[in-house]
Amino acid sequence: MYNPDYMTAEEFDIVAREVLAPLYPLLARQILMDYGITFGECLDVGGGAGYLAIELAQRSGLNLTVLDIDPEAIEIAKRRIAEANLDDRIKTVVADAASIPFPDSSFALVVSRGSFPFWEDKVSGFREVHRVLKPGGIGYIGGGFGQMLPVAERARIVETLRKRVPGLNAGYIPRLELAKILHKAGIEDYAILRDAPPDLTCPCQIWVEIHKH
Amino acid sequence: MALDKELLDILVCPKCKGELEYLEDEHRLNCHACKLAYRIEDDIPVMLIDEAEPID
Repeated sequence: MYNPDYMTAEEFDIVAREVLAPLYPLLARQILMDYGITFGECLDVGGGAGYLAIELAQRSGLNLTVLDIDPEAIEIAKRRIAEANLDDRIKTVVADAASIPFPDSSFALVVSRGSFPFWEDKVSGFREVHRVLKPGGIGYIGGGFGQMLPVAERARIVETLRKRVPGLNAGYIPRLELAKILHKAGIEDYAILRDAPPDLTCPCQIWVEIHKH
Repeated sequence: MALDKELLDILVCPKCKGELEYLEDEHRLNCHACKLAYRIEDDIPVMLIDEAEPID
């Protein structure tokens, strides 16, 4: 979710800790249950302070790498990972989603929450996600809260975010534009999903599920 | 936490996706094909093309 003109890593971390905290464990459970990928390598693109990666590591046998363009976010991630005693399972690297520093077919699962609306070069970002996925792998890239967060809780979070995060829906990308981006990235097998039920007050709650063959 | 050796083994150049040479004393990862050096700061590799330094 980081954008230098938008919020600092420290500011976003406070929001993640104080407002978004309830969604990460539920989102991690959803991803693990839906895709059944519970071992092997997982990459979190734009993983910021590592909240989703930590929850995924605590609930599975996955080894994870948190990639973020912001060195400050990665510093915070390292701290949180150490506090969770997960140093041996979660690696960190500063890199751009548009130029991922890993070989082709490296990851069984690539996740990303709240990051892609801020990618400067979205076509390259999605192309890179697809490139580093192993055949049979899944990419789950989006901006929502996930399917498992109770509706009332979701509304409460949206309401709090609206007060605390400037331009909450600034990163909103219409479905058709997203489809064009994925087409340009050469990705054929994908689904564009919304958190259910759709929250029209927060249209950023959209996800792309990518299947690599 | 020390620099993760496993991470170093799998990292490639973000530009050409080629192999990198790890220069431990200089805290750098060099890509000889692109002639770029990526710095390692506080044990975190900074794999940003824009911030890489040219090498001879």
